[in-house]
Amino acid sequence: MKKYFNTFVKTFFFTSIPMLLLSMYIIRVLEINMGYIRVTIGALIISIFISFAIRVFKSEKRKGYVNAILGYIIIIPTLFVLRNIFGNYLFTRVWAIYIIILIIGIIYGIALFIASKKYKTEVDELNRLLLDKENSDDLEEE
Amino acid sequence: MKIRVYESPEIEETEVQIHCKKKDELVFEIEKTLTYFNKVISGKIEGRNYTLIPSQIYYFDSIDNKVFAYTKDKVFEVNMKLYQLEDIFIDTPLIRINKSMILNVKKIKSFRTSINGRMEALLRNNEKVIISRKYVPILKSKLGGKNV
Repeated sequence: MKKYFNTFVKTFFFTSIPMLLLSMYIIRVLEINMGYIRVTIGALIISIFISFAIRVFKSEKRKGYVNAILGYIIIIPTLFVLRNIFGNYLFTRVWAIYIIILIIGIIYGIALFIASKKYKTEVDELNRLLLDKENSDDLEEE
Repeated sequence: MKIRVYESPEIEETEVQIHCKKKDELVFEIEKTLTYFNKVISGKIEGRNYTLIPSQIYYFDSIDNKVFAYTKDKVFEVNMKLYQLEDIFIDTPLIRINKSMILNVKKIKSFRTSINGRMEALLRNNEKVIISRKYVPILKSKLGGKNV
């Protein structure tokens, strides 16, 4: 629970910034007043989902790819929360949300690809070090 | 370096002496390696006590405030905390790999990673253990890498 709360606090901080910018954009460009409480509650709900997705993604239970898929599924409802807060000001077309889900999926996939490549390099190095150590131990034994 | 082994039926305990001009890196390494064999702890199975040497131990795992030592095919309950074991086995191949585990690096067969960045070590007895990213630099240095 403590770990989840730590993730939640960080997520809430980073979620509040784009929420604030989006609200400012709507106020300035569309001249519509956004309710502060509504936006804050929205940011809180979104942070709950995102931090939960992060915890699931990092979880040591289940297989890695299952956690990755679950993490993505958990993130999706945040977009519906976003649509509920900003309504038609941001989502002018009904299908826009599905396009955003797709875009987020692509970004998520790219991020996963980059991360797994980075970790693979690390694991390859560890395997190489392990092999070197085994070889040197064998030589010492001889 | 000369290595001499004297066998005698009268000797009760094996003793190793290092004769050197100066305690350099090589001597330090020899001392460290010998320490690995010298440190023993006791483990319990069904009320019976057994002596465990580090080279037998695959890993220590802490479950519900109890610590267990896993050998190739046996599990011993150890009456010590993980941090105490960490102190005892300092300068040996036994290192902390996550919050609840101490692993013997010499028992690792290979490493692998999964899509969510989780790192696993496959042991010589085909068991899998999870390595926390926090401890990877220490592991790397134990294996002779330059990290840390």
